[in-house]
Amino acid sequence: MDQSLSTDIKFVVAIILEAVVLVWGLVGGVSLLGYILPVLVAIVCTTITVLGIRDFFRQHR
Amino acid sequence: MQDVVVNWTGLDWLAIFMYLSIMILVGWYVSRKVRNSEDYLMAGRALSYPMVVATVAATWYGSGAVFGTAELAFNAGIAAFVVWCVPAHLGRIPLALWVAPRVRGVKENTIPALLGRLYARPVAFLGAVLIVCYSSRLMDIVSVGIMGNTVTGLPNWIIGAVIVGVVICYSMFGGLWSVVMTDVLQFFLMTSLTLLLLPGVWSSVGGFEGLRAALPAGHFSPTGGLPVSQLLVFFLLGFQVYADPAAYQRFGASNSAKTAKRAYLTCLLIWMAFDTVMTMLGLGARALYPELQGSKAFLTMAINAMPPFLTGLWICSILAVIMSTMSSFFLVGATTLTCDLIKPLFRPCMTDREQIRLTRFFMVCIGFCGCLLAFQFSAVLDAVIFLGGLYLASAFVPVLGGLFWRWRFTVAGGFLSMLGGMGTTLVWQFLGNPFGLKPMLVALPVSFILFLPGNMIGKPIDRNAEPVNECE
Repeated sequence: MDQSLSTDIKFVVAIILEAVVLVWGLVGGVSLLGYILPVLVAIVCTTITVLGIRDFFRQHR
Repeated sequence: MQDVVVNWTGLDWLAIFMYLSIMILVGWYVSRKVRNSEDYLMAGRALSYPMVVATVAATWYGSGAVFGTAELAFNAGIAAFVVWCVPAHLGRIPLALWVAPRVRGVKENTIPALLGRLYARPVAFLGAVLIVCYSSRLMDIVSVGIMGNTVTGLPNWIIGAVIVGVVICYSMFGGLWSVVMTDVLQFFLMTSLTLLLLPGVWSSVGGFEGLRAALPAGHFSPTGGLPVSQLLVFFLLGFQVYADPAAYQRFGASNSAKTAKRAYLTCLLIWMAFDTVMTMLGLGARALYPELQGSKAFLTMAINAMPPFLTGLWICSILAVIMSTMSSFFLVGATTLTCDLIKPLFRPCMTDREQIRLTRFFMVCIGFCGCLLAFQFSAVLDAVIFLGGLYLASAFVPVLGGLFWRWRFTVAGGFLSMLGGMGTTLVWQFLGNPFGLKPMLVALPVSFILFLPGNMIGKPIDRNAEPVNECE
């Protein structure tokens, strides 16, 4: 299988899986979600921010 | 009714001042790297994966998305996420997989330019006028004024004018480069500070156990007891982004088709998690302040959970949500006026420098008119917002049809579908939304139905024809 296609499929599966887990967490009343989720998202978003700034300086060195 | 009580201190003002100053400084610093109009309008088509993720995520999330999700959760419970957010995000997967790479592959910088090449100039002009209305972000200006007034007590229009002034200032400096790099920082602020509010709120309401005791049982039903027609409306409304000019601008500015696609897929992952947090905050607000109205309860809960300075920083995160959207759309509106209306109509041979100057001038005009309309001429406000909504109903089919329709394809097809979408929206609105259906839900099918016979009329378009350079 084309590598690009397999990455796309992994992304789509990840999105669907995330939706299922989050819906299950809300419907099932998993309280832990309220503590873990914001921290996880904050870590991911901070990483993206740092990489974005790094790319800008690399491009405009 | 209990109102928002805020202990707004000098430290909070300091946080706001620092945030606004940093945004202007970043905009100015980035502008030093801009060399020509392609840098200014399309960031040199060099945006990397993390940059596209940050700017797309920050731009799409405006005041409506943040306060709207929390407010829906406040009123309808977890259905806000299950029936509003999940279908909308899943429905956008095709946009990432097929539309984003296709848009990156075309030469045109804007949607009207694309419409102009695919169909004819009048279609492009019509699209351009509607995009300018859509880009005025009047609701964001109104929201920022109300939020500022609620928190600081200053008049709405002063807060609105200051924020619009700062947005124009940093966006004008370096165009899309400035907008993207301020978006990157605003993305960090909006996600970290807004999300880190949840653990504190969650422990004070006692998690889901506490919420179940405090809220009606219907708040934990996946569909919230909403009728199927309402669920369908929610699903279809999520498709608005398929004609969003700011998303198209970012797809076009990505450094490759693969970057555009992967970045948008990543945004879907982030948005879904962010929406879950907003839903939980909405539930928390309902448990803590059931007597207040949704957005006000959300704001009160956040402000009361924070000490001085952090309250100011949290307000900065909400400003980041709104300002990142405003800056992107002001630039889209100004670019559309310059490149899709003034340039083809009056100055086909405009130089790079003239294009940049004119875009800056139009950004100031859009911001100034936006403030006037939002706070002084409220009678016109609804009309401009309505015209903006008209854009989505009329451009959706011609734009996607132009990109993907593989069979016979004519100017009449584009014209008819655009006019059909627009006309149906106007008539439906005039009739007072029969059957409780939103105009867009009727306009989109009509627009598509007219697109089909329209493509049987007239001479077929040669898609591979090179655009005419009028300067030669």
